[in-house]
Amino acid sequence: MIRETAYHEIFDSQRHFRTLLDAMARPGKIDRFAPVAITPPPPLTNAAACTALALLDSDSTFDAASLGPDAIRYVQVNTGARAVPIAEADFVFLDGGDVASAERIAAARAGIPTYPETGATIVLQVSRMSRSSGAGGLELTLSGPGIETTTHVVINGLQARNLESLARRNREFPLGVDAIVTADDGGIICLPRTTRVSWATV
Amino acid sequence: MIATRKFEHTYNFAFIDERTKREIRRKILKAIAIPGYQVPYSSPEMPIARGWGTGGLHASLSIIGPDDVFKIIDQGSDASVNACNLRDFVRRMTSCRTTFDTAEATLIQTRHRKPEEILTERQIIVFQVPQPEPLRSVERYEFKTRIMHAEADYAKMWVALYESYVKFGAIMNGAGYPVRVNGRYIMTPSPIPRWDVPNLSMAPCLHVFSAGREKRLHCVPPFTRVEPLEFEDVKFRVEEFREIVCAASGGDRAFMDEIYESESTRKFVINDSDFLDKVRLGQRPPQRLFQNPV
Repeated sequence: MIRETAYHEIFDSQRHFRTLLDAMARPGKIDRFAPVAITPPPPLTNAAACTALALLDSDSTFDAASLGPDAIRYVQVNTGARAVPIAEADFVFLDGGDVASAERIAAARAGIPTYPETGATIVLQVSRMSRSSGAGGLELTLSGPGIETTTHVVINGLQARNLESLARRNREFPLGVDAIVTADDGGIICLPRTTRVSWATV
Repeated sequence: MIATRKFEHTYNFAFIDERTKREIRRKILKAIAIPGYQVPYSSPEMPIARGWGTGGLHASLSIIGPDDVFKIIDQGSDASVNACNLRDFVRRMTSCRTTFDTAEATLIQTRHRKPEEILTERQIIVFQVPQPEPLRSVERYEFKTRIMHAEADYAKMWVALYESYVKFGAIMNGAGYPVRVNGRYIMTPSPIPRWDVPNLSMAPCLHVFSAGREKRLHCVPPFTRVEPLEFEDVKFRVEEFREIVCAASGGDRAFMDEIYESESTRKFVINDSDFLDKVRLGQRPPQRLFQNPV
């Protein structure tokens, strides 16, 4: 298993955190991680791996069972985080194009009313995202904190079932899960639990 | 001779170790996802005492990168002791450029003011918070206030505001006026004057509030509704500086410091030092002014 050596623990993680911070504060804004020469094992993508390297360490837990043993091993080796069953995980790595992810989203931790921040962060891998075009994708309309009025983003490789499951998990604010959607080309958007999402097929 | 070796070794970039920074970063992301909710965090030891801006430093140092331009103010002033010392510390630990210019800064740390000038999308403002719990004045136990927040049970807060009105004829909370964030959590905006409270609402910048002594942080994301608590017939009002001009610049429509010169005379000076400098130079930066209800 490859241990990443090109990733700078201080400066790459800081830059990538700033990208995540901006994306989380402005849901639907397509941000991009600064490029870094890492080689995560497929199906784990570069952007999802950047998220893991920036945020996870041995104080946190994760589940990547649906992405296979190589992905789990990669995250364990490079971050020191512990792989646990999905219901206990702080971070859950999922494939947005897989309908089976809907059940996994439903199984992720949503926090408790006195400590809602213990709800999981879901890293959802999709193939592509853009502001407008993208035939065969889903056009998401977003509103809520961080968005002045509404914003649109077109995502390819994301099943509507998974968005439904996400919306159902976030029905009872402040409980819920926060999603970081990562694309194969390095783009990311965030869908925190406060964001209201509606979608249509393009 | 005994050489002083204490200050010879180098520190990690931005002083805090990476593991602790990562923990604070995870908490900041959760705080953004739940606007106004106070997320407990590690609050590591800093080279200053808790309660002197450690919370602000934790947030700033976890966010800051080598390209950031850092500004820090204390009660609106770039030059006060707290601001100068923390600025010097951040500069020495990060080698970042620092500035007094509000518009130029990418990361602003503040104690008890939000700058007059409108902050933009590329700016993050970090508040040093002494007491993050708005309900502490009506409920002394943490486990109870936590349940009150969980259940959105803010009856005691409303009663306290009502009692203040009955006793004094006005809601007396001056600094740290309680607000409701995104229609859910009641939050303290830290002891900023009322003047600044409306500027938290639907602002383009990200606000991070961090209380080192109390080990909690909360956020107001950009473009988020922040409503001061008010009654249908008793509305929120900001400080009025009617017919008052700044003695140093001649400017008006800004939060003023009241300065007593002798027993009988006083003058007013614009509180925000960078804004004051710009008004003096004849450039008046864009501001968002709140109109008191008639």
